Amino acid sequence: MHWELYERQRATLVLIGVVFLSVLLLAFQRSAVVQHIKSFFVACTFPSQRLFSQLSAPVTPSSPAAPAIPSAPVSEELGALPDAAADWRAEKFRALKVLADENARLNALLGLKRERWPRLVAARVVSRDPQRWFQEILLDKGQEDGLQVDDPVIAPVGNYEALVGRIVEAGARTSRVMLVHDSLSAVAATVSGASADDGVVEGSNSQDLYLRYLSRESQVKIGDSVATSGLGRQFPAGVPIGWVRDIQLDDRQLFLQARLNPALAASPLRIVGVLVRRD
Amino acid sequence: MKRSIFYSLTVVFVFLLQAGGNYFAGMSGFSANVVLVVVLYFGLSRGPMAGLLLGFLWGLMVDASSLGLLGLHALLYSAAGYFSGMLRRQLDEDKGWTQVIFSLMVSALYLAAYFVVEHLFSPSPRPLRWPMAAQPLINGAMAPPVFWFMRRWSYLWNAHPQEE
Repeated sequence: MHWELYERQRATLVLIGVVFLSVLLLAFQRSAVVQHIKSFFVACTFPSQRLFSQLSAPVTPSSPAAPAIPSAPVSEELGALPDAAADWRAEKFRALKVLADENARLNALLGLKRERWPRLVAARVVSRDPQRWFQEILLDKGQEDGLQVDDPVIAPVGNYEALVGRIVEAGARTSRVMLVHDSLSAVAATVSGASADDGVVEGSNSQDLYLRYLSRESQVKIGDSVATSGLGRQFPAGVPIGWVRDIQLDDRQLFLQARLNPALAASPLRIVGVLVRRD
Repeated sequence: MKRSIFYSLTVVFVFLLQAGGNYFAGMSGFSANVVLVVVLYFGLSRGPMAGLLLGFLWGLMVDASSLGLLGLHALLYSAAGYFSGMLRRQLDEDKGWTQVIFSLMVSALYLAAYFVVEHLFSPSPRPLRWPMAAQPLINGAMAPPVFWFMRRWSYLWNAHPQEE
């Protein structure tokens, strides 16, 4: 009984220490010390993230192996053979489709690299927290590959590219990307077509993006495409962000604001390209 | 030595299960919190210290992998482990309904605390999405199999409290 009382008091003291330590970590999230601690834990947990990202896209040529033939009597085996063969063909077809999809994405990135962005680094998305789905992703490339904080991130979507976001933390071998959907994200943007108005695209921590601060006299129309304007030099000009879905006055009735269909929504985010800056 | 291997394997295995669940749950938001249920198991079966320390370690690992605030899960898991350990003598952890109701209630409190702490410290807190409200129900439903598995796993390593 005394031992249990001692154990409880000791646990209470440790809890106070742990709470104090956790609050310190939370309060000084952006300090160098906390960033180093976080980098250490990210490095420890990174192999598991990469494992899951590879499991979800088994693209190594050796992975679509044929299933082992069951060690049953020959007659049973012959009976089961058509099913097994069909399963094997289906598995092979699925693996080939995954390979073809990934190949198409990499080819699209390679095309972009040749044509528009000579310093583009392809990176795989290794983590995307379902509870912060529209806010952040983790990439498997970092400072060792030349990535830096504030580098723009794009992704191929069909025959064009779309803005994904920008790097907000660059570790040695991983990087954290703030998506354009994050409510803290703001991107200088312009509307294509006759109006060519400038505004700022802001996220809302959801699927929706908003193009704000458009003049009340703006000729912007539903369906107009919106791309980065290059103002502010954070992002290169001309990277598609989305299309205008609806237009309304903002809360203070001073500007027009447009809700956008994001260009990125059409594609699963598996491989992205990071535009490495020339310094 | 055997106990160290048991704890090391458990930490890695449970973390992989949680990280895998998060990865494959995708944007649906329907995800179980395996780590929380296992922390409750350790608290109830081994006392506040075990729940607290394992909760802190798993919390840091989950924080690093979930891209959120470092210290958020660590704080909440360690608190959950401590309080389940303090209730060790009041609750019969072998009863299925106790496991379900206790996991459900702690998960609901955990979710509420998560939002409060995140809104206090995060510049960009996550929005409230209705699938998240299902997490306490999912945790409650999976508590009996998780407790059963952890007990079997402990016996396998002779690491159950009665045998330690």
